[in-house]
Amino acid sequence: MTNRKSLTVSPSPHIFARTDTATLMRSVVLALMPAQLWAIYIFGLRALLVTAVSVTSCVSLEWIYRRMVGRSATIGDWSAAVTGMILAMGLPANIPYRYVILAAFCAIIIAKQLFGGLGQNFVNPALLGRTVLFFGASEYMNRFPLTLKMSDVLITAGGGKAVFSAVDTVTGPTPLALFSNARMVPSNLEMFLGRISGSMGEICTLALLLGGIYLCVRKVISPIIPAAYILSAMATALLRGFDPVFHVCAGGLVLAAFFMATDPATSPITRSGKLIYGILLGVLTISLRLFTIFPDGVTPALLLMNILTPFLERVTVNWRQRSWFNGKEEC
Amino acid sequence: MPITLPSVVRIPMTQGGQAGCRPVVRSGDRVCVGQLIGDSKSAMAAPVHSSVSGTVISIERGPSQQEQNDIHVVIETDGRQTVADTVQPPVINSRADFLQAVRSCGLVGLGGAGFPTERKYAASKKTPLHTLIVNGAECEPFVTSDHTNMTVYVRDIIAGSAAIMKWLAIEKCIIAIGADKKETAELYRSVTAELSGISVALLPRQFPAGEETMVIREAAHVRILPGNLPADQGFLVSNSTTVLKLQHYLMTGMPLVSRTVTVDGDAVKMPMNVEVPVGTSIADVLAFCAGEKKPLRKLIAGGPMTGTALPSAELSVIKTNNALLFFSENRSDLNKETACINCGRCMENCPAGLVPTMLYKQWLQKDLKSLEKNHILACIGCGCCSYGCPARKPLSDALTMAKETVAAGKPMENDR
Repeated sequence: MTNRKSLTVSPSPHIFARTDTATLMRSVVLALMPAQLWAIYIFGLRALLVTAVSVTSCVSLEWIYRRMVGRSATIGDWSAAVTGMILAMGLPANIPYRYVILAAFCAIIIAKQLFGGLGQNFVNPALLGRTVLFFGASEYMNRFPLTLKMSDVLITAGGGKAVFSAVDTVTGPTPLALFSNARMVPSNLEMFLGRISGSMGEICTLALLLGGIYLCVRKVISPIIPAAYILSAMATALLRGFDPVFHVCAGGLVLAAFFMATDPATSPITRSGKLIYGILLGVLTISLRLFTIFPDGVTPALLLMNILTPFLERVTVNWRQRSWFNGKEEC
Repeated sequence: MPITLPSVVRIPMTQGGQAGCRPVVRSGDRVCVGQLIGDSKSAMAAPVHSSVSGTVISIERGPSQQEQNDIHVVIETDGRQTVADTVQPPVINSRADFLQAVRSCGLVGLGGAGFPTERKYAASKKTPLHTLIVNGAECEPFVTSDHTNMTVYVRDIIAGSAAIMKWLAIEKCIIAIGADKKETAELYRSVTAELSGISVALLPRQFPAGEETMVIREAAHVRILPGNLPADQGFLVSNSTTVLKLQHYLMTGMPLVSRTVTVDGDAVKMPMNVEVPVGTSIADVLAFCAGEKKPLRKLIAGGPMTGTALPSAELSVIKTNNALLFFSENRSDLNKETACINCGRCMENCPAGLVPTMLYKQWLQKDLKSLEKNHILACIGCGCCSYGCPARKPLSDALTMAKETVAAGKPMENDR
């Protein structure tokens, strides 16, 4: 008889959507694969090793920290792995491993765990890791490898017929470095396809778009932030009289648009909030790029917007509730 | 299909509503089908009638679906199903007669909510009712008992609606049917074409389209303001099976003693819609449906989104059981709670326009002021927030508790 067996009693609902946090995070890792593979094609095995060091550091640091402070293990939610992947994508392939580990420490321990772990961080962990290196290891963060697979413009600007086999020793300029020195830059097509130098996961706009569109189609992220960010960046560039396509493909804008700005913990929850967040990001990124010493503008723009997020969220949640609960009967 | 008559029924005195009845029969009494066996002075309890003919073998206490220590009238059936003399069509000449008939029928909301129907129909004297909505949306997964009745008893449901309109002086009636049941809607359209005041509306095929305020929003394009009952804005929403059972009582005098139950789930061999006398053991229903296909792990009374998980199959079927779902696997067991990442899926899924993740955090801090300010009273308890949460937070459960707590702290504007 059935009464002998124990039945589970739990509050409704009794069925759930399949997607859980780990599923979402794994999708992000998968979506970064085109960019990762392209990085390996361009920069060689070292692009894979940098990612491996970054992901391993992030995951093991999280595991060690949670164990040390006696809290539950959380590496199974894959969020540390995602931080490791995104962090690696923003680094040059020739960066010394010790800096990768330092960045992972800042990301996982300082930005994430000290604030309470997943979802509690006020700044994107990978972003903080990268920021620390920008200031603490700027000589490595601004030296990018050069290979024969890149645009002729870069190779010429990078020092002519140097020996290209040893990736670590020969460094070349990024399109933005050439741009800021008012020199010739690679064509938009070469930049879109990623035949340029730069941070390993940022060079190929096409690969990032593939991953980003995958995330939108699978409804892992909302397309509002990436679309608003990219379009407003293009508009800002155009208003200042620059080539909008160049400014989208250059630097880390597309990586940030799909993989960092969409971090739900550090972006507003509402649609209107997301829209404002994306638009301001675009304006800030291009303005900082054009008018300050920041070569890229993405990192400081994201930092500022992360800090602005709680405010944006509060204001837009109020707007949302006012329009829903306006006291009117007709609908 | 009616179930094989069980040898014993245990009829709980608490079935829907917030109050229970007291037995009006004693151990050893002979009872007939439709005979009053439990009654209450409280308007929050509907009277209970015997679903079988036979002998009362005991009046005993024990857990029912609603109460830990409920009174049960246990009746041994004689197999003859003799109908009681008291079962006579009621004579109705006024609104008061009609409301008395609704009460004597023992009606509660049969969509699952179980609110005493007489109380609902009598509610709100300050705003006159102008629209009756017969709710045939039945939007929960698995559940098909209302739809089964709607296709079989078309004329009875329409006649019942007309009776409610007549005696409660309601001008307009909308029969609301889910868009996934187009043929049924067509059927009702053709039958009601000649009748003035009755129309048919299609509802979205998406859960929770059948929830009261959602039905009003979709069928009549009116929003029920938070804190208001539908009656405060002139609406009366009644489940289609409730209307059907009322009409059967008006025609024959047979009160609510049995109901259609959807039996489904992966742990039952022969899923079906079956007519079950109130008080039948759930184990008997399972046995009638050819028993277990897989070991039973979770038993749900009602739909999977808002239904109640029951602790035992030995409990009795009550009036509100539109479905009994037998599952071998318990999804709640597999759910490991993780941290909220503020993804906003709960907010996007919420049909009431709330921000559940924010309310959840405010509930954890017992910040009742903020909860009220952020419209917790508009929560309809549909479960959509929990359903989609990737962190598996018990949002719906917390919000329901928060709503009750906030509502309890407020002066009661309505007696519901």
